[in-house]
Amino acid sequence: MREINLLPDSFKVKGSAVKLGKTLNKVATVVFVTLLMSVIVSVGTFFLFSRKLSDVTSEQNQLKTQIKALEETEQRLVLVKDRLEKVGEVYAKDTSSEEVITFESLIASIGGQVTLDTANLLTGSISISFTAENTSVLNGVIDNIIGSGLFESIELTSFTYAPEKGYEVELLMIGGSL
Amino acid sequence: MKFEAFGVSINTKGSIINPNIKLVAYPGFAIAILTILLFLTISTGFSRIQTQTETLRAAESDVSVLATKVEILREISAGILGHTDTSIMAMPEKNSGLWTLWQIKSLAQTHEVEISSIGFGSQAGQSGLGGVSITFDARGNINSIINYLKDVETLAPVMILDVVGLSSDGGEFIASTAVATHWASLPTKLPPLTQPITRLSQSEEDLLNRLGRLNRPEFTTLFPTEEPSGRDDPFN
Repeated sequence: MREINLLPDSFKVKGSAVKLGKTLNKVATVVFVTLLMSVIVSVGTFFLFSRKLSDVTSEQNQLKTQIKALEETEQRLVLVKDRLEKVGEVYAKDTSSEEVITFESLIASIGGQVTLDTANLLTGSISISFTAENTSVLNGVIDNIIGSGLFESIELTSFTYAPEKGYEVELLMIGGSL
Repeated sequence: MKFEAFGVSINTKGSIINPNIKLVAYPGFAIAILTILLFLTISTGFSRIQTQTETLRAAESDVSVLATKVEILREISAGILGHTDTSIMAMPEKNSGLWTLWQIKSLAQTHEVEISSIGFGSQAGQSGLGGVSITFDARGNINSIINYLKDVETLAPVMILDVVGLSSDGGEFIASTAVATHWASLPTKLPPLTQPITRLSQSEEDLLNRLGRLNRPEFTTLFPTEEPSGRDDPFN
């Protein structure tokens, strides 16, 4: 029996369309395989990381438990560190203690040659006033102070003479150090 | 659908869509859908994995910090922690003015120095430090006074020799002195678990040893008295 196709000629499949269709089919297959691989890789990686994360979290919890057990030690350490920090702040403040030591050396160097009247020990400076019977004693004392090397600068702030007492001298000495 | 007439088979099957278009459109449509799915899979998967990687990295970092913390806490010498009292004595929690005054007076007795004209003044503190300035006159011979002043900073709680003015008075000297002492409230909470801690540095250990050499105030412990016994019977 003869077969008659009533469809118009324009409905005939063209060779180029078949070729393009085949190419597109191949592309679709490649995309599908890529999609499948992506899903497998994503799920696999996610599962792997989840497992690793679970292990790490478990280790973290173990360590936290150990730290809890050592809490008293931590408390003491934190306390000691806090106190040391505060003490450090206090010790960083200006103090006249170095001047006391310098003053002790100064007294040793001038000895009993003069009569010490007053002294002021401030951070970084010492001022003294004393009375010397005569100029030779005064010269000796000044030489001793200069020779001691205890000060960076020595300033004569007052110098008076009273016949009944002798020479009254005031010195300001800066940069006291041993 | 086919039908036969006059010995002829007529094919009416087929759609209105052009078969050329059909041949290209189906795989094209499939590619479009698959591409969208691929894009969604990659973007969602990548962002999930990225988040998980970050979480894992943070957790690993925490584990490292915690492990170091445990190691430090286990290694820390008991000797250092035994200095807790020393550090609190050096920097008390509350106003240490009276302790300081007691210490100053005790030291004066040791050095045969007489203390008078005692006064208290507030000392401006910084970063949680409270302070009080104690002024007094110390009377004695020059050597005693110098030794006394040298030893003031060896007392606990820590104190700073602020000002010293010396004047002679009938063969003796009077040292007009100001001493500052400080206190600070204790820390109230521990740092977060995952915050790293450090060992005491060499300078901190040196400072702790220095504090250990300070002369502490002596405290008297009062014990409860014995319970009163029954009254004596005056008739027997």
